Amino acid sequence: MEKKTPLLDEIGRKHGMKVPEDYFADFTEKMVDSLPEREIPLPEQPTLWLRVRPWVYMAAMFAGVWLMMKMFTGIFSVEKGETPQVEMTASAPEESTVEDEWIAHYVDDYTAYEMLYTEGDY
Amino acid sequence: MYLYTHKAEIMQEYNEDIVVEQLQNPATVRQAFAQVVAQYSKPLYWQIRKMVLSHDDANDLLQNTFLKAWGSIEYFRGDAKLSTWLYRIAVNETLTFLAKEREQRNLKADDADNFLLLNIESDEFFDGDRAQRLLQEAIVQLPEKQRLVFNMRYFDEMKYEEMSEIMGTSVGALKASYHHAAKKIEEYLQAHI
Repeated sequence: MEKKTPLLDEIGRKHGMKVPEDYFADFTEKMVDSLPEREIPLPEQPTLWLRVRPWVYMAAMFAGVWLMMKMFTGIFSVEKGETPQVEMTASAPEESTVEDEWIAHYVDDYTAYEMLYTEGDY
Repeated sequence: MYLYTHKAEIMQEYNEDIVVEQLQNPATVRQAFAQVVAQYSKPLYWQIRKMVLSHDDANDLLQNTFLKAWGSIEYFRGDAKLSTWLYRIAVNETLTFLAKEREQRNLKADDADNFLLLNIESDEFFDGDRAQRLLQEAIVQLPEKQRLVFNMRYFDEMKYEEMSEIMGTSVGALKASYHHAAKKIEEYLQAHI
C-alpha cells in the first residue's frame, strides 16, 4: 500500500457518506422482485456433424499423410532403378579429333608449316 | 410479476463457483441472481456513490447495473470474474450518467464536476466533517477516470490487478494515475485547509 500524504493521512479513509437504515437488505429484495421475467435459452445441442467433425478432419489428415507417403515412396523407388534407366551415350572424343579441330581453328598456315618442319621427319 | 419471497435463499452462504454454474441454468438462474445482488449490491453501491455523491442517483444507477446484468446474464460464461463483470457494468453506467449530466451543463469531459458538490450539500445521507467534505471537493477536481482510480484504491484498497481488469488499463498506468491523483489532492487540501 502506498504511503498516504500527510493531509490525506490526517483525514483518513472515511468518506462521511451513509445510507438509509436497512438499505442493502431492502434493496436486494426489491431488486430481485423487480427483475423482469425472461427466457434463458438452453445451450444448443451440438448436431451430429459438429460431434463427428473433429474425427472426420483427423481421418482426412491421416489419409493425406498416407497419400503423400505413398507418392514419395513411388518416386524414391523409381530413383533406385526399378524402372529402366535411360542409357547415357556420352562418349569422349578421340584425342586426334580434338587436335585436328584445334589446328583447323587456331593454327594458321605459316605456323602449320613451321610445325611440320620442326616436328616432322622431313 | 414474479415475487421473490424466499429470503432464506438470498441469505444462504455464497459460493461463487456454484452461483456461476446456477446462472447458466434456466431453472436456477433467478435464485442465483438473487444471491449475486445480495453479495455485490454493497460494494457496487459504494463504488457508484463515491462517483456521483448522491444517494438517490447511486440507488438508481445500482438498479440499472443489476438490470443490465440480468438482461445479459446469458453472455456471462465465467471467463472473467463475476465481480469484474459487474464492476465494469457499474462503471459504464456511472460514466454514462456523468457524461449526460455534464452535457446538460455544457461542461467538457475534463472539467471538474463541481456540480456534484451540490449533491453533497443537499444530501441528507452525508454527515461528514469539514475535512471529509474538503476531501470530496478535492476529489471532484480530478478527471473522472482518475477519480475512479483514486476511489477504488484509496477508499476500497482494491488491488491494481483487479482495477486493471475492470478498467482495461495497464497496472503501470493505474499506479501512475493514482500517484498523480494523490499529489493533486494533497495540493488542493494544502491550499484550502
